[in-house]
Amino acid sequence: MPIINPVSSPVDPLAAKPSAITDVVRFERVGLRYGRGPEILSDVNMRLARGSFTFLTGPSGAGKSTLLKLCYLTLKQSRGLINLFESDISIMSRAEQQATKRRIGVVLQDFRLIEHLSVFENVALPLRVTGEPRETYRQDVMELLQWVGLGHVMEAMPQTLSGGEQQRAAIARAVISKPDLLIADEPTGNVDPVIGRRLLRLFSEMNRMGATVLIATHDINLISEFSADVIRIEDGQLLSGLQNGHAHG
Amino acid sequence: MDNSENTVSQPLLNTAADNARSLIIVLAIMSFLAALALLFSLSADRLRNNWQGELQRTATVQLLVSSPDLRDAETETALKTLRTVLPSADIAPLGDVKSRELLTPWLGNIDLPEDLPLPVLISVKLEADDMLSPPLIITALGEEGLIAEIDDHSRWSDQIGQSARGLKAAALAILALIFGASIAVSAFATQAALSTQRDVIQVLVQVGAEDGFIAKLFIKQAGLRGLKGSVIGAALGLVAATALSLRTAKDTALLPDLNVNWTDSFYLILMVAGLTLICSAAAGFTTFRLLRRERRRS
Ligand SMILES: Nc1ncnc2c1ncn2[C@@H]1O[C@H](COP(=O)(O)OP(=O)(O)OP(=O)(O)O)[C@@H](O)[C@H]1O
Ligand SMILES: [Mg+2]
Repeated sequence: MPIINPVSSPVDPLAAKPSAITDVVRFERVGLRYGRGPEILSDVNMRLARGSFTFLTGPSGAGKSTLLKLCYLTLKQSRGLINLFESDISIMSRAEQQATKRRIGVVLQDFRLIEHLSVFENVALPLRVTGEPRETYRQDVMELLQWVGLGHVMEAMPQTLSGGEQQRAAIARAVISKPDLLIADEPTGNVDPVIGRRLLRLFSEMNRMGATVLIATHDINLISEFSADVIRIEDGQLLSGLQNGHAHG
Repeated sequence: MDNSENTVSQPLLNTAADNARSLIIVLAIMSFLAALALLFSLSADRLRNNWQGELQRTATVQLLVSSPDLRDAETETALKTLRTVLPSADIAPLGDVKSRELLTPWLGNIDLPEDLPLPVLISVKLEADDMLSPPLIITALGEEGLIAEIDDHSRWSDQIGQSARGLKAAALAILALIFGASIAVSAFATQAALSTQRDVIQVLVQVGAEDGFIAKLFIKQAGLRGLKGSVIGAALGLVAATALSLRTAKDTALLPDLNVNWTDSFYLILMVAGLTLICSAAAGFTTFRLLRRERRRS
């Protein structure tokens, strides 16, 4: 049964104690339309518990990417309630929204690496925008790059990297700030199955360390190999899960 | 691994992406024009001070002698009185020849009869800081039974003051227009940069950068460009004005010559600082405004 936190704190999401948080993401009757178009999502109810690992699947055009955008605060819902870290996002100030984004790591299919910045700089970005001095994170960034196997291309420009390397750079950027919520949209779309699996193991690793993970994917084979919740989305509605998963809410 | 790696941050904004050089050139041209307007206004001010000072420190006393017989005696009394009232002034009678010369513009070049009762003209030159008080002098002369008029050149002085003020106002208006145009140029450039660097901004917003963090990038960039442009323009302006002043100093030009003074550099530095500041400010406002607008759209 859903555990509803009686006093959800609407203010600073950073002020909330992690241990007190049960739902990292909660959607209640969320609807979304682009402009004056039809509703892409309607009456979506969803809960992602802290520390959960969830696959989001469904046919092309079903609204997977759209739902993820709502989760990483790039889109605003047309109606309904969205709570992130127990805070209603519709009443957050701009500063609170940005603080919330700093707790979310995002990997998109097109990676969104900045072309004129080196791999190191791209990965360091989430730490750099906090205004912290470079010395405090330089070592961490270099270690992470070593760990994902990009130690030799730290100074390289992203466009000189292979697709798989770019993807690892994008993932490194998503996890460098140790986010509480990790979101990936088709992370295995562009890479061969071997790399795809290695990547998912990286996400599991993050999940074991406490991050809540939400991944949109078409790859049924991949889903079957990992024990995780599965949410299926079709015709703008969330359906209960396949195999080992179950949809919340 | 070499520990000296990655110690210096790369600039977050892509400097190759936008047209920095044309912006700097435009700002340099504006700053050049602003520098000329400023120097012109400063030298117009100085010129007016010089001329007015000169005029205000000189006056002509016209003594109306009661009869030709008393002419010498009354002149003597008047001189003595004036020297008592204005102890530090340089007081001298202009003499007949000079007096006649001064009358020719009115009476023409005719031979004046010797016994024409010409007024006695006495020139008064004050020390630098003294002020002339015509009523005081007339009263003093009146007490000695003398009738006199004073031409203190105030009519000319007022006219010069007026036209100098007009010139200065025009120069300042031009300066204000240039500052306004610089605000617009910087705002446009920032707007363009924000759209060419849209990808970068989107990533920054996604990883949680505050608006202030992003605005600071543009403020710094615009400030640097404003500084470069305005320093170049102001330097060229100073060179051009100096060249002009050297040239006009040789010819006896009718126009007030641009005489560049070293203290003018101080005002030029202020102008450069001002331009830099407004470029930064315009960039900051534009960034905040566009980020807010972007947010409303999503
Ligand atoms: N910016 C947009 N403006 C208008 N309509 C959009 C926009 N983005 C997506 N859509 C529409 O919303 C619907 C859902 O798109 P979305 O990208 O969320 O699907 P998806 O499930 O991620 O598909 P895929 O598996 O192909 O990535 C589609 O019909 C799409 O045309
Ligand atoms: Mg998609």
